Amino acid sequence: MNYAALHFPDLALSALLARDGTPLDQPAALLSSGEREKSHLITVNHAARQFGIQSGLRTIRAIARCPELLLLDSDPTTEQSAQQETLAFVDSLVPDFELTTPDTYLLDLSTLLLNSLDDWLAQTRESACDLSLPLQTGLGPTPDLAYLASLVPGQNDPLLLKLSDSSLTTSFPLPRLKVLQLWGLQTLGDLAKLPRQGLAERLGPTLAKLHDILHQKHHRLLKLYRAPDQYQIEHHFEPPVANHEPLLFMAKRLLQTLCNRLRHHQRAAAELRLHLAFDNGAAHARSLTLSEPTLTPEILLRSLHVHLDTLKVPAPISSFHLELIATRPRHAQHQLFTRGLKDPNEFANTLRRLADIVGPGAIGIPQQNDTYRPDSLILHPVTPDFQIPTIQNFHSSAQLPLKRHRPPISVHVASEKWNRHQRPLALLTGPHQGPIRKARGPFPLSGSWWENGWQEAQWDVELDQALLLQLSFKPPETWHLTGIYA
Amino acid sequence: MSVLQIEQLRRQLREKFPEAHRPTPIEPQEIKPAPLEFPAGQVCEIVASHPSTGASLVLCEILAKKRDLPLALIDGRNTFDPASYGNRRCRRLIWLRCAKTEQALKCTDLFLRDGNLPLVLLDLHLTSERELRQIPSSLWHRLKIQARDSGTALATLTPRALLPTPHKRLTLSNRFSLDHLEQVPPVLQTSQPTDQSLAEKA
Repeated sequence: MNYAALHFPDLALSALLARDGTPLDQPAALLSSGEREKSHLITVNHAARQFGIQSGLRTIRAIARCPELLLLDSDPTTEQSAQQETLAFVDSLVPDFELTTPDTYLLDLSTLLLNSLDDWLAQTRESACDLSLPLQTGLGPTPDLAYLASLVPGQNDPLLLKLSDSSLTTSFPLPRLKVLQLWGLQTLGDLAKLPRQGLAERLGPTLAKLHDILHQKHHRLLKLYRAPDQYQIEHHFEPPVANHEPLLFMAKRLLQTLCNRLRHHQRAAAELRLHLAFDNGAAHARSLTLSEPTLTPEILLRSLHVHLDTLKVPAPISSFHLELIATRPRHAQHQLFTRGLKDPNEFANTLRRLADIVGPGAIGIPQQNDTYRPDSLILHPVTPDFQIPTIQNFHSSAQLPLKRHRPPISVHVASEKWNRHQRPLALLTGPHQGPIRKARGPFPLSGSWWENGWQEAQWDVELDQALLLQLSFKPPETWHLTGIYA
Repeated sequence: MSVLQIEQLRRQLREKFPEAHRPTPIEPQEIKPAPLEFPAGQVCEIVASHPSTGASLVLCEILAKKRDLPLALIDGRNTFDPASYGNRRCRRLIWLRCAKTEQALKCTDLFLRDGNLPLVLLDLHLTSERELRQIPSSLWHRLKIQARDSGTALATLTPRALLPTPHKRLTLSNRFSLDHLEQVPPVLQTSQPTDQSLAEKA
C-alpha cells in the first residue's frame, strides 16, 4: 500500500463542535445564512444522518425529524483555523502529500521507511486525537482507491476498501446513480463486476474511469502540496533608533538573506513592502514596486534608502518588517533597433525623488480630456514601459502654442459692448498693460450645463511690441489673462 | 610656357569651340530646414528674448519627432498647455510641473544624474529676471559635467543668454502677430547653419 488518505468528515461542522466541546454523537447541522425560518442545512454530521437528515433540507423539516438537532451558524475563522491545524498535522506526517479537497489529504507513503503499516496508522490516529476532529483513514495501492477508502465510514482495520461492503450511496457523489440502482447494483463491487466496454458505451467515460480505478488500472500522480514561500523578515530595535541609518544597516544584511532565499527558489523580487513601527505606537507601511524584478540587494536597498530619505518619522523606530513579493525573473532580450532604459530601477528611484520635490500629482504624462473646457487634463503616472491608457485622441487646433497661466491672472480690462459681447480695448492691470492693437474673437465656450455649468468667451489680443495674449471673459464682468502665445 | 602664352591659347580655344566655353547658369540652391538636434551629453540653449517669438514651436518640433524614450519637460513656471500640442505628441513626454525655479533646477539635476532619458528640456522662458539672477553660474557648469557624464542632452529655453559655454546657442528672432494664429504652423529652419541662429519662417 503506497498511499494513505486522511479524511476529516464535515470539517467545518466538526471544527465548531470541537470548539464548543460538544460530543461528536450529538446530531448537529450547519445552517445557511439568512433568516432561520427560510434557511436550509449546509452540512450535517453522521449522528444527524441517522435521523434521515440530509444536506439541503429546510431547517424546519430537519427540526421536525430531530428536535434535538443542534443548529450552528458557520464561522469562517474557526473553519480556517481547523484547516491550518489539519494541514500542519499532515505536514508533520509525510513530506509529500496532496490536498485533494479542503477536508481530505492523500499521503505518499513510498518515501517513508515503515516497519509496520498498522503501527504507523495506529500512531497517526492517536496523534490525530489532539485535533478533536473525527478522522477517517484509507489505504490503497493507488491514490484514488485510498481516497475512496477514506470516504467510506465505519471501515475497520486494515482499512482497505472492500468493494463488496461499500454502498454506492455512502459518501461520494456518483454520476448516474439512479440508473445504477435501477440496474440492481448496490455496492462498488457490483459496479466493478460489470464489463467496462458496455459500461462506457451506456453511461459514459466518467463511470468507465471509476471502473478503471476500482480495477487499479488508473494510477495518477499526486499534485503535491507546497506551502507558499514567505520572504519576510522582522527586526526589533532595542532601544528604538532615532534615524534610519541603523535600519539601513540591518536591512542590507537582511535583504541579502531574502535575496538568497529567492534565488534558491528561482524567483526574483517584484515588490518591496516595508512596515515601520514607532515608539509612540504609530506605524508606517509602504509598498515599493520595482521597475524590473531583481535579485540584487543593492537595488532593493537603494529603493528603500530613497524612500526613507523622504520620510519624516514621528518618533523613534522600534521595529521594521520587510517583505519581498516574489515573481518569475524576467528573461527578455533587448531589442536591437529600439532603445530602452539603461537602468529601470534607478529611473524608478529618480521618479520617487522627483515626486518628493514637486509633489505626487505634478509629474506624469499629460493627456488632454475630450472636452472644450480649457485646461482640462489628466496626468498619467509614469510607468517603466511608459504606457498610458488609450483615450480619445485630441488634435490641437492651435497654430501657435499657448503658455498658460495657472491659475489665470485676474485683470482689469477696458471694454465696450459689441454684438452682445464685451470687446476688450485695453489692459489696465496685470503683467502686460497697454492698449490692445488688434483683437480676435470672441470664442464663446460653455459646457456641463446639466451639473455645474461653466461659460466663458475667449479673446486673442495683440498688444504693442507684438505681444500675443489670450483673455477670457466670464459674465458678468470678470476678465482673466489665461495665457500668452509663445 | 609663360602666362601670356597660356592666355593666348585659351582665347584661341574659346574662339574655336564657343559651345564648350558657354557659361552654365548656376541654379539657386534651396534652403532646407536644418534638423533640430541636441547632441548627447551636451548642453544647448535656446534664447527667446521676446515672449511671443514662437519658443513653444521649438518644443512642438521636438515633440513631433519619433523617439524610443520620452523626453522630460521641466516646466519652471507650470505654463505648458497639452491642449496646444495634442495627445499624440504628448504620449512621449514626461511633464514636471514646478512651482519655483529652484524646484526646476533640482529636477534637472536629478534627471541628468539619472541618465536614463536621452533629452531633458528645461523651460525657464517666462521666468522673471529676478529669479534668473539668483541662479549661480556654477550650477550650469555642474549640469554640463553631469550631462557629459550621463550622456543625456540638456536643452534650456531661456529669455536671455544664461549659460556660460553652451555647446549650441539658438536665438529666436521672429515676431508673430494675430494673423499667424490662423495660418499654417511655421516651419523652423536655420537661416545660416554656421552662425547657429534659428529663425522662423512663417
